[in-house]
This record gives sequence, structure tokens and C-alpha cells, in this order.
Amino acid sequence: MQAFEAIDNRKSKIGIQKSKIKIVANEDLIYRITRAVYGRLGVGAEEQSVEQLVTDIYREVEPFLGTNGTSHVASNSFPTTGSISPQSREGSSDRMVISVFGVDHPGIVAAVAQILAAADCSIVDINQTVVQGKFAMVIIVDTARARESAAELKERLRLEGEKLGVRIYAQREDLFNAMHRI
Amino acid sequence: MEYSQAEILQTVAMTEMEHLDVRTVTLGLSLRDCASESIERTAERAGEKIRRVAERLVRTVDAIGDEIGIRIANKRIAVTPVSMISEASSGNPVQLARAIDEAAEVVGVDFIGGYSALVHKGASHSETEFLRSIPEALASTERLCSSVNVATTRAGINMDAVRQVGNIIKDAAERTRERGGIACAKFVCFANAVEDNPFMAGAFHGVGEPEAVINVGVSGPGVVNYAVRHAPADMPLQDLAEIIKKLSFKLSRAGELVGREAARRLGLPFGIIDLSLAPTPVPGDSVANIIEAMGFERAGAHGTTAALALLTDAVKKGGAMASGSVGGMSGAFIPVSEDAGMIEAVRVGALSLDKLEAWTSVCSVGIDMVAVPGSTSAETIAAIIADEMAIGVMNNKTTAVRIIPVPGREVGEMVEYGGLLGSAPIMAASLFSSAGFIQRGGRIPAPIHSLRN
Repeated sequence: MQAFEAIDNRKSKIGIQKSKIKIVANEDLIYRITRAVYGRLGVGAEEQSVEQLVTDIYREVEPFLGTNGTSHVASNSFPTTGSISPQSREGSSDRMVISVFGVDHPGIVAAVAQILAAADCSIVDINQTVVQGKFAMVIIVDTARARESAAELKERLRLEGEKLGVRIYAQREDLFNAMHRI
Repeated sequence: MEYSQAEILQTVAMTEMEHLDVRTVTLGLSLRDCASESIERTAERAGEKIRRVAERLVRTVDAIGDEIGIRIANKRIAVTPVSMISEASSGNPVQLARAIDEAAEVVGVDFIGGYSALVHKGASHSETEFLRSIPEALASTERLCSSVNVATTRAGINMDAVRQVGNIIKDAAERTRERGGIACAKFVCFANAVEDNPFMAGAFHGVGEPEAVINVGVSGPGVVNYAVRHAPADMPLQDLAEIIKKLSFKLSRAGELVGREAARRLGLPFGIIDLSLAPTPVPGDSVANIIEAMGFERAGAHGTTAALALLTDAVKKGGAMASGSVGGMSGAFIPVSEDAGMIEAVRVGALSLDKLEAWTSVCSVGIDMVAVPGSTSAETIAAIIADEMAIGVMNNKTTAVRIIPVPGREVGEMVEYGGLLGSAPIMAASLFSSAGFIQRGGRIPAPIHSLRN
């Protein structure tokens, strides 16, 4: 515990450095990086070197952070292990955008969700509206663990769309990223 | 949600309703290592190499189109100018043409380009022989496309070659008389030909290119047409240019995504993306309709050259902003028979060959898929080519001529080619002779601005 107190002290010192390195400080992240560095080098590590190391690491990961200091990858936490996927900035080839348009009636969301569940695709985001009886839904799904190929899934959705009387399009997320993000 | 509903709707509308497609994924392939002493052996090696390298091309590209959710209309191959690999071989190069065509059929591509020669300053003995083989090669194959570069800004215009090309076109038309002279639809004559053009019929794999490369041609006149048509009628032209530029950016980015993915899966380097608004006979997917939507009764009216200049430039700027790998032609194509709006403009008398020629000074290529009466002489065709080459050479741009003197047909008739080639109205060429000028031969010297070193 003594070691962690020491880290706490040093973290606050590093936190003070933020004005020098012109970053929007993410105290929690700096703390976790500091802890990881001390975990590797031991608590006896030279304070100045640790400070420098933490600053360097923060600078490297900063471009991958949102304005609130959180990662684009997942808004709730910063990954503690592994590298940050470059796909997070380019749209993912493992994600699909499924768009459903047509005349509203009960059961459209359920039917589409059932197909996705059966294919082992998890819904990452969903947005559905009805305006003047016109149904519009956009679902972003993660297909990384999908049991079916993209072509099979699309065909299944197309057939379901015919049954439901709506049009269903499935396109890879990186297409939208390429076209609408610089 | 990471994307707004408007962004998602726009993408779906573009791909599903406004005919945004990747017009072609073209594999550029060097055949230089296939040259041997006999044409039979060269043909065998070329066929084997095409079958081997392009084996997975079609199914890989189709799978990518399916996954990404964008139509990839054509899969094609461009090879080293065949005149270069047939040079060392004794025998008739048509054997090589047939072997390449057969290999294209086996791997399932719709066209293979590169039965070509670069003779802008002169031709070797074997290149002269090669040029003579072009009509037979085109008439006896289905998928093979041919091109000849007869001029560059640096070298001037090889008028001997221009004259010979006039004869090649007449001969090719006659050999496919019963099919409306369709062999000429697979032949292009260039000034300043580009080495990485993915579009047919002018694609070839240039000598400065790597062993193999993936180039992508993106199109989307339907998308631009929709946007221009729905812009307010009093929108100033600079704002209209801005709309086109932004759309071009999006189209180019979509194409680059496909190209890089195809290159990665095929284990080949990615070359260039060419955003060229290339019309199809589908209603609305028309460059003429875009021009008309800017405020003209018909394409071909006065002012349409300025409108086309705006369009071509905005497309190029959007493409250049979108990708560091923009190449090929990049701009707007104006193939008459492939554009429903242009066909209609010719039919009502709004668009003439003269106005088309004026357009080519600002579009990305040249006189394309134009049918003229079968009675048009080889000298007149050569003279049409000479005019077009001069526009390219003097303006430092690529220009081309793809013209069909349709045997037995006269002005006002239509000839059907089907598919992407569409249907061509026979247009009037000048009835006054240019023969004396063409028969002089020789070379039109390079312009003063070629001296740039």
C-alpha cells in the first residue's frame, strides 16, 4: 500500500506537468499509466524518468482520445492491455450498418433483431424513428463473431425485408467512415 | 450514433438509387517477362501468366462489393503494350491476341486492354507490322481492347501513325460489318495516353508500372445529376461547383476503400483511383443530364463547354482532396452511345460532332463512342483524330478518339451495340475532304511549351 501511496504522490506531480505538455489531463488515465510503469520498473525507479515516460506515453495515446479524454474505441474505458486498433479511426471492417426503411407496422425491430441474434451479431448502436407512418431504423452491428458470411447475412435480411414489406440494406461501416469523415 | 441519419440516408440513396458504383477494378499486369523467340511460346506464357495472377480477381472483388455494399460493375485486366512483347517473337501477333483473349475469358473478366503500341514519335519495323494486325486481332476476339498512342506534348503528333490509324479503323469496321463495326468500339487512339488508366477501351499497363497493380475506376454521374438537379435554380455556379466537389470527394473515398481492400486481399500493391464520371445507358446516369441540370435546354447548346469545364474541374478537385493516389483520367467522360442524354441531344439536333470536339478540350478524354456514316473516308477519320490529338498536345492533356464508321449506315440512323456500349446515333462528319493534309504524313512538331527543361 505504501508503494501505491508513493505512486499517488508522484501521479499528482505528473498531473501538474499537464500545463507543460498542453494536454487535457485525464487524471485517471495518467494514474493508470504511472501505476503500470512503476509495476514494471519497481517503486525504486527514478522519479524523473517515470515522469518523462508517462508523459511520452500519454502523448502517444492522446490522438486516439476523444475530447472528454476517453477512447474512441469504447467510450467507457481505456484498454489496459493490447494496442489501440487503427480501425477505431477508420471505421471497422467488422461492423456493419444495417438500414431499414418502409411503412411502419409492429414487429420490424423484433424480426431484424432476431436475425442478428441468430447470426451471433451484437448490436452496438440502434436508432429508430417513425415519421408520418414511415419507419426508419439504423443499426450498427459487430460481426466479428458472426456465424455467417456478410453475403449470407445480407441475403437473409433481404428476404426478411420482403416478408416485412420494408427495404433492408447492409453495408460495411468503413464505407460510411470513408465517405463522411476526413 | 456515430453517423447521422442524413449521412446514412445519403450513402444508401447513392448506392441503391443513384447508381453510384465502382465502375471497374482493373488489374494491371506486366507481360514483359513472357517475351520469347516464337510467338507461340510468347502466347503460351502470356496466357498462363494472366490465368495464374488473375485467378482470384473476379471472385475476390465480387466478395468485397457484397460486403462493403457497393456495386462493382466490372473486373478487368490491363497488360503491357503487346507490341513490346511481340517485338522479339517471329510470327503473327494475332496469335498472341487470341491467347490473351482466351485467358481473359477463363478468369472471367469482361475486357482485357493492352493490344497497344506507343508510336508518338515513330514506329519500329515490328510496331508497324503490329499496327497492321490490329483490325484482325479485334475482329477475331471478344474481350480484347486495343489502343495506339500517336502523340504527346513532348514529341508532337506522328501524322504517319494518324494516317495509319484512319485505315485501321476503316478496316476494323469492315471486318465486323454485320455487327455495326463493333471492333472499333474496342479501339482508342490517344494523345498523352496515361499508363495507369483503369477504364476501357484505353487501359494498358505502362512501362513505368510495377509487376502487377490494382487500379480502380469510380463513377457516379447519377449521384452528381441528382444533386445538381435538386439544387436551387438560382444557386451561383461557384456554389454548384462546391456541391460537385464535395460529392466527388465522397465517391473517391468509397472507391479507394474498395481498391485498397482488393489490393490487400489479392496481395498486390494498390495503384490509383480514377474518379471519372462515366455514364451508362441507364436513365439519369448521364453526364449530358448533369450539364442540362445546370440550366440548359439540351446538352450541346452554347455554354455547355463552360458547364463541362466546371464539372470536370470540380470532380478533379474533389478527387485530389480525397486521396493521395488519384490518377488515370479523373474527370468526365462523354461517350455518346453510352449516355442516354447525349443520344437524345444528338437525335434532336442539339449536339454535333463539332460541339463534341469543343467539349473535349475541357473533358477528361475525348471523342468517344461516336458513330459516323460508313462512307466516311479513312482520311476524314484520320483528320478527326488529328484535330483531337492537337487539342491534347497543345493543352497538355490526354485526348482520345473512339469512332465507328458504321458500314452501310447513314446520318440519322441508330446502331445497337447492347450492354454498356449502348446504342449510337450516326452523326454527320464534314463532307469536305481533308485528304491532302493527311497524305503529307510526317510529324507535327512538339509545341513550344514542350521545351520545359
